[in-house]
Amino acid sequence: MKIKPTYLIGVAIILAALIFGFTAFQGALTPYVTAANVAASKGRVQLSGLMDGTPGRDAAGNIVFSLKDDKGSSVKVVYNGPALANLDTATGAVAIGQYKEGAFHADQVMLKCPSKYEEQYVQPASGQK
Amino acid sequence: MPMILGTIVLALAVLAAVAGAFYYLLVSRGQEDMLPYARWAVYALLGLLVVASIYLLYLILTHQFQVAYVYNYSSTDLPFFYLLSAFWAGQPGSLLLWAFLTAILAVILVRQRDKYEPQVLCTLLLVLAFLLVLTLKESPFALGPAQATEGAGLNPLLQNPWMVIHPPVLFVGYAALAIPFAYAIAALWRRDYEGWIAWAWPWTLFAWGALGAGIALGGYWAYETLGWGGYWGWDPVENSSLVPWLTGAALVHGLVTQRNRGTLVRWNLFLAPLTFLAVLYATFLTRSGVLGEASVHAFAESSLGPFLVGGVLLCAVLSGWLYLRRFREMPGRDIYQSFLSLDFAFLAMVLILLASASVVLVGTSTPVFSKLFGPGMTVATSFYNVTNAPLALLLLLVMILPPALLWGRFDRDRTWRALRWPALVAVVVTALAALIGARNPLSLVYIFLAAFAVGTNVVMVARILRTNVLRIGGYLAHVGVGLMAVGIIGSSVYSPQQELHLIEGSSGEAFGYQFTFQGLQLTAEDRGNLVFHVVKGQEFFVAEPRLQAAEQGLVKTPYIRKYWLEDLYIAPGEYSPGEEGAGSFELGKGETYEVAGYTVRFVRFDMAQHGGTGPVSVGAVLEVTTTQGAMVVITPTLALGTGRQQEFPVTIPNTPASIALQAIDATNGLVALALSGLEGLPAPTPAEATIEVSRKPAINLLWLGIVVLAAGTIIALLRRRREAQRLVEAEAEAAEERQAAARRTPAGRPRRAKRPQ
Repeated sequence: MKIKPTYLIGVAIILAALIFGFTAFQGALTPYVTAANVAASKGRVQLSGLMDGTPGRDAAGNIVFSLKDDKGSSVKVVYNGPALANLDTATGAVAIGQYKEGAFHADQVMLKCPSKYEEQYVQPASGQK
Repeated sequence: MPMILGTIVLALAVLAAVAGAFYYLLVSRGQEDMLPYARWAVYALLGLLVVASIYLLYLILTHQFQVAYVYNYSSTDLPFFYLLSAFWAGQPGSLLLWAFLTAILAVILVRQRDKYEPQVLCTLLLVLAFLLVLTLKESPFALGPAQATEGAGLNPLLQNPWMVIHPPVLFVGYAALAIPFAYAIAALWRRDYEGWIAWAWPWTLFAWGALGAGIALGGYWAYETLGWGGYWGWDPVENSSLVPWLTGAALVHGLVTQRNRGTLVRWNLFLAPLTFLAVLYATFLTRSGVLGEASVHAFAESSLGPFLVGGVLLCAVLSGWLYLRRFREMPGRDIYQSFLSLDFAFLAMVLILLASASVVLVGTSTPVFSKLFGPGMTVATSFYNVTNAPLALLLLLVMILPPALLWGRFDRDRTWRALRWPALVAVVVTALAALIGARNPLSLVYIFLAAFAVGTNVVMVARILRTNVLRIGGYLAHVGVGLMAVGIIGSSVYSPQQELHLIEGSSGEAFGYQFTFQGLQLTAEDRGNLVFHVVKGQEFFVAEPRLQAAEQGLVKTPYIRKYWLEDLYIAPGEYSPGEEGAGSFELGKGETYEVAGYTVRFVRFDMAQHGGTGPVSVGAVLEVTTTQGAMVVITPTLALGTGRQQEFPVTIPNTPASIALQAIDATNGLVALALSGLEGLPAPTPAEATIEVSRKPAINLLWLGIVVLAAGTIIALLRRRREAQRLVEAEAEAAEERQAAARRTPAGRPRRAKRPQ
C-alpha cells in the first residue's frame, strides 16, 4: 500500500503539535512544596503554608513574610508586586515563585483569609465563585 | 421537620426517576402498554421537584435558620433577589436546581413525542436519579444550629446582579447537555445512527448556547466586580466549564457536516457523550474538593467525591462500551476528498476545538492526577495561553473559509470572489490598527485574520439575509467570534497599567487623566468608596472604586469609565485611613477646646465671602488664647470649589502655630479644625490610597462579539427547531398512515413490536 505524502505531512504536524504542547506543559508544571522541602526545589514551584509571625517590608520595599508548615519549618517569602490587601489578617498563603539564597522569591501570592464561610455549620462555601 | 419532609420528597423523586427509567426500558423492549406509566413517572418527578424547590425557597424566604443551608447562605438583611440567589449559592441548592431543570427538560421531551422517547428518557432519568442521589447525600434540607436567629449571610462577591443569573444560566446549559448525550445513547441503542441528529440538534444548540452565555456572564461579572482587571483567569472553575463548551462547539460543527454530507457519523456519536462526560467531570473537579490545594477558591470539602468519581466512571464505561460495540456497524464514509473543501474545513474545526479542549482538560486535571503519582503539581496559567494561542490562530484561519468553499469540490473562481474584498478590508483594518498603536507583529496577525474572518462572513450574512434569514446563524456566530478575538487582543495585549499612590487631597496623573483623591466615603450599606475626582481636558467625572470589608477579606470593586473605544479601568488597591494629629478637633458654636496650652473657641461662621464668582469660601471666626495669655481673633477659611476644596490656614500672631479649617458640617453647625506648627504635637497623617489604572482598548468588541455569537446561535437554534418540528409532523402523518393500513388489514402486526414475546 502506498502511503500518501499528505498523510506524512499530517502526521508530522500532529507530532510537532504534541511535542510543542508537551514542552509547554513541562515548562508550566509547578510542583507543590512546603517550607520543609522548598530549599531543595528547583525552578518555579508553588509554596503553601501558614502565616508565621507578622508580615513586613524590607529596605527595597518588598513585602516580606514567613510561611510555616505543620511540622514547624518556616521559610521567608519575598514578594515584589502590587500591594496585598488583608496581608495582616491572612492565616495562610500560596506563593508561586523560586527559591534562591535562603528566601522564596514569589511573583504571585494568593492569601487565604479567615472567613466566616469556613466556619459554616455543616459545609464550607462551594466552588461556585 | 424540614429535614424529614425534604428527604421524603427527594427520596420519592429518586424513586420516580428509577421507576420511570425502568418503565421506559420495558417500553423500549416492546411493552408499549407501559408507556403511560413511564410518562406519569416523569410528570410525578417534576411535580416532586417543584415541591422540593418551592419548599427550599420558602425556607430561605422565611429565614428558617435551623436549616443549615439557609443559615450558611442567607441572612435577614438580604433583599429579595439575593435571597433568591441563595437558592443556588451553595452546593446542595445548586444540585437541586440542576435536577429541577433536568426534570423540566424531561417533561418537554416527553411532550415532543418522537420515536427515540423510550431510550432518551430512560437515559435522562438515570442521569436525574444520579443527580438526586447527590442531592440527598448533600441535602439542602439538612439541619443546622437549632437556635440561630440570623444566618451567616451571602458572600458579598455573590451579591451582584450578574451573579444572580450566572449560575442558573450555566446550569441550564449543564442540564440540557444531557439531551444530546441521551439522543446519542438512544441512537446507539436503537442502531439508528443517522436520524437522531435532527432531534438532538436544536437541543445541542440550546444547551451549548446556554453554557456559553453562563460562561460569558461569569466573565463579565469577574471584569466588573473582582477588580483584577480581567474577565478570564484560567481558573479551574472557569476551565472546567470551558471544556464542555469547546467539545460542544466541535459537536455543533460535526452535526452540520453530517447533515450535509452524511459523514462524521462516528464523530458525532462520540462527541455528544464526550461533552456530557466533560460536564460530569467538571462537576467532579469543582465539587469534590480535589482542587482544594490548587486554588485559593473556597472549594467545598465535600463528601460527594466518591459518588462523583463513580458517576463519571460509570457513565464513561457504559457509553464507551456501547460505542465500541456498535463502532463497526456505524457508517464510516470518507470524510473529505479535497483539502480545499468545506468537508475538510469542518473536520479541521472539530479537531482544533478538540485540541483546545484537551489542552485545557490536561492543565486543569494536573493537580488531581499528579497527586496519584507523587507530590502534587499544578500548571502555571501561561500554559493555557501558550498552547491556545496557535490553536486560536488556526481557528481564525479556518473561520475565514466557509463562505469561500463548497462541499466536496473546489471552485477557484468562487473562492477568489469570496475572498478578495474581505482580504483587502482586512489589510486596511490591520494597517489602521498598526497606525493607532498596535505594533506587536503577532497580534497584528491575529487582527488581520480576525478582520478577514469577520469580512467574509459578513458578506455571506448580507447575501443570505435577503433570501432566508434562518440560514445566517453559523456565519453570524463566526462574525461574533472574530469580533471577540479583536476585543481580546486589544484588551489584553494593549492594556497599559499604571499604579497611583495618592494621599488625601493630592493629585496624580495616569494616561492624561488627573486623579485627585478626595478620601473614603462610607455608603449606606457600609461599603467604602474611594472617591476620586478625575479631570481630562473638558471632561470631569467622579470615580468611586469600592472597598468592602467583608469577614473573609476585602472585596475590591473597580470603577469602570466606559467609552466607545475603550474602558478606563480603575481598580482599588490599598487604603490606609490615616491618623488625625493631636491638633485636630471639632467644635460646635461657642464650644472651646484646649490643646498644647492654646484655647480655641468657635464663635461663628463667616459667610462674608459668599457671592461673587469663583469658589465659595467659608470662614470660621475663632477666639484663640495663646500660651502667653493673649487673646486673638483669627478666621481661617475654606474654599469650596467644584472638584476640590482648599484650606487657607491662618497663623496665630506671635506664635509658630497656625490653625486650618478643614471641613464644615453646616447641618450640625460643626467645624473641623487643625492646629499645626508646634513641636511635640504629632502631625496628622493623611489617608492614603493606591489605585491601579489601566486602559482596556477594544473591550467593547469582546462584549459585542459575544452578543453577535449569541444571536447567531439563537438563529441557528430556531432553524434547527423548525426542521425538527417538520419532522414531528411528518412522523405523525406516517403513523396515521400506518394505523390506517393496519385497519385495512386486521391481521397486520404493529410494526414497532420487533421482538416476538
